[in-house]
Amino acid sequence: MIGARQDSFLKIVLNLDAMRDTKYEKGEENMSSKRNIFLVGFILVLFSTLAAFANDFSGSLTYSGEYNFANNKLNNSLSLDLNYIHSFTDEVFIEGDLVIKYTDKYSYLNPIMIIPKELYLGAYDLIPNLDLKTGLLIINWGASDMFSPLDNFNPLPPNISFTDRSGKNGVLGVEATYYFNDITYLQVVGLPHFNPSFIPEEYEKQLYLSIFSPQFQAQGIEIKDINITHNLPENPVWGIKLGRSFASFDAAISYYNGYYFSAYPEAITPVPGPSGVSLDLGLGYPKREIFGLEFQGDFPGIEGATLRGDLAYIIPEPWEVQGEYALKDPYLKAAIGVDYTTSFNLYLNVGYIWGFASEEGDKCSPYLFLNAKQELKDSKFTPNYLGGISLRDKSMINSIGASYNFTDDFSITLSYLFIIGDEGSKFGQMKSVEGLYLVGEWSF
Amino acid sequence: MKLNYKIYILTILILLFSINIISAQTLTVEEIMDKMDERSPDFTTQKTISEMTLIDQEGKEEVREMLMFSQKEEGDKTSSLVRFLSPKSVKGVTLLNLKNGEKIYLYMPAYDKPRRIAGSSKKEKFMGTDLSYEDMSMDYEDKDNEKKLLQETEKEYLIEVIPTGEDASYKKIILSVDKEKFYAKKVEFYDTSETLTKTLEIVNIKIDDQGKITPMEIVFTDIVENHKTKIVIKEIEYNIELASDFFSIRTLSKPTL
Repeated sequence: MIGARQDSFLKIVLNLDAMRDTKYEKGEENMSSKRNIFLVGFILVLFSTLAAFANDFSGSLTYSGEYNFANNKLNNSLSLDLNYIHSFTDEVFIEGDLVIKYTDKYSYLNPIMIIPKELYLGAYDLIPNLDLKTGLLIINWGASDMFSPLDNFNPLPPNISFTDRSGKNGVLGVEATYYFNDITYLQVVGLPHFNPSFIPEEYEKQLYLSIFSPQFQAQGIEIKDINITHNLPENPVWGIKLGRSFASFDAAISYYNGYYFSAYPEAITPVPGPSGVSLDLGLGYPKREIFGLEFQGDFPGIEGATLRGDLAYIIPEPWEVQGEYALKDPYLKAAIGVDYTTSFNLYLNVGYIWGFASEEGDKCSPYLFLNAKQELKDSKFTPNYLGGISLRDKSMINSIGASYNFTDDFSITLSYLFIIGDEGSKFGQMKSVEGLYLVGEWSF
Repeated sequence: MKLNYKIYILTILILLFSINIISAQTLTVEEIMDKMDERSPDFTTQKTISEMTLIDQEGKEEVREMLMFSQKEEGDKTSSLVRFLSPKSVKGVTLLNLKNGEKIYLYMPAYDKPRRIAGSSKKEKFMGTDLSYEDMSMDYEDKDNEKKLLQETEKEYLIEVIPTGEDASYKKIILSVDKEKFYAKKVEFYDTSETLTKTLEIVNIKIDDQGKITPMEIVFTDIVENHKTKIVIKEIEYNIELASDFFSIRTLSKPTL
């Protein structure tokens, strides 16, 4: 049992934390502050208006404050998540999910973002035993609680959370599920276009400059600028899954045909110009096929434990960069976990992961994760721990915190996030995320 | 997730449905149970909207509203689907319980996919309540249970029920049956060391034109934890039409029921 709401505070920022602007000038900061106040006011006014139509909408208003130890700066975010469901008939309905977010965390991003997460038309039994959804979809494949290697239709958000899946971006597509009977189904997902992960342009430039400048400097070439071209695949993305419920567990086999969300360099050309040498960088998205197995059910030998797991056999398109293969041979990724609640209401969820979200091919390595939460008798106070360890270099990420439920609909969570490990280690390179995190969430 | 109280309450409701008015003459336990059964509404499917109030030892209350569908299955088993309507923080959370807990699934909107709950997890509590998954699927009227008439007073019969299941959580259950209306006014649950741990009381009932009795307000008390759960039935319908595959994972994630 995962308390997604309570755990949403823990976001392991892989990329965009590096984009925090530590070079703000005073004047820019003041202007930004005024604009931010206006935007926060806008969100609150919008929220108040929508609250008047509470019967049609549900959602949440979430404040996230983060005091970062690396730059001694407090970042604030305010997010309004609105969900709307309307049934035309018993069989046909529409569902929408819109997120309006303000954040002062990333200098390369517009502080206010309006993100349509889902907007789709759903229909049941227009054809007997067939469920259809079409539109902007969030598709969830895989049984594991974290980092499923089978969940590959929606691009990932710029930051990654262990447990908060609300960050996934919607994609245009169709999902059709045919039920042969109560326990067996076949699901087909089709996306007309591939949707890569979003990376802000300026950040991407800085990232690749930091990678390639030293290489060319070694050859006596000073790179002054970089021009990036994205070569998006034109073929559709699709997948098919066959699932069945057995006496003590459920299982499904699946096939995915699509592409990696992150770009890989495919053409690197230094171009001399009047102001120096610039780099023309072509980025592509390698194709990948994934054969998957997901399962969940009784954990043999441990009474009270539920086993959930995903196994992925990935066949990549061989991808050569500067004479070396970034991707070549098929490889495995896995996420397997067990959740268990003790007699004294301590919830434990232990997971083994082979291949973190950012690891592919021969870069995959093993990790262990633990999510623990103690329900206290007659208390609205819930201490929790969430952490992971790289079994390769023993680096760790840890979050110790507690949530307090003021009411059924309003809770606050405070947590302390810290890293153990050298700077070059798996988690040590995320040192910039160390800090205090405060999340207040109101559901309405 | 805590749901133990809810399960007991549901069980009590089932018992209450089974009461009948008889004369003051002594009856056998089988006759009493038959009378109770006669007074219970005849239905194969049921839909209820209820309000559940959790009360802790300091008297603090949490209120939850639930929509529940249930259906009698072969072999005296019951399947049910419970969806939380409020509070907002758990709105849409849905529990599917197939054939007395043979399979249990939980759907949380934040995850948007069914999560199977291991059979051995049935004693875990559900969604911040004091009801366990097992409680949600209990049937103390099971014909396989041993029953004995302990005592007959002016107003009630005391019946002892001995659960026969291998993994039964209780050593015995004692029913206080109203002699006039034939419903279980109170149920006492004794754990495996024969200590009274929980009680269930029917506070309010509704009697229809045919004399059938529906419990409308139930109070479940966990004596060990000093907690109470009050369930008030706000709406109830019998024998509603449900699709043949209603109690399946297909229904679990539907946004509207």
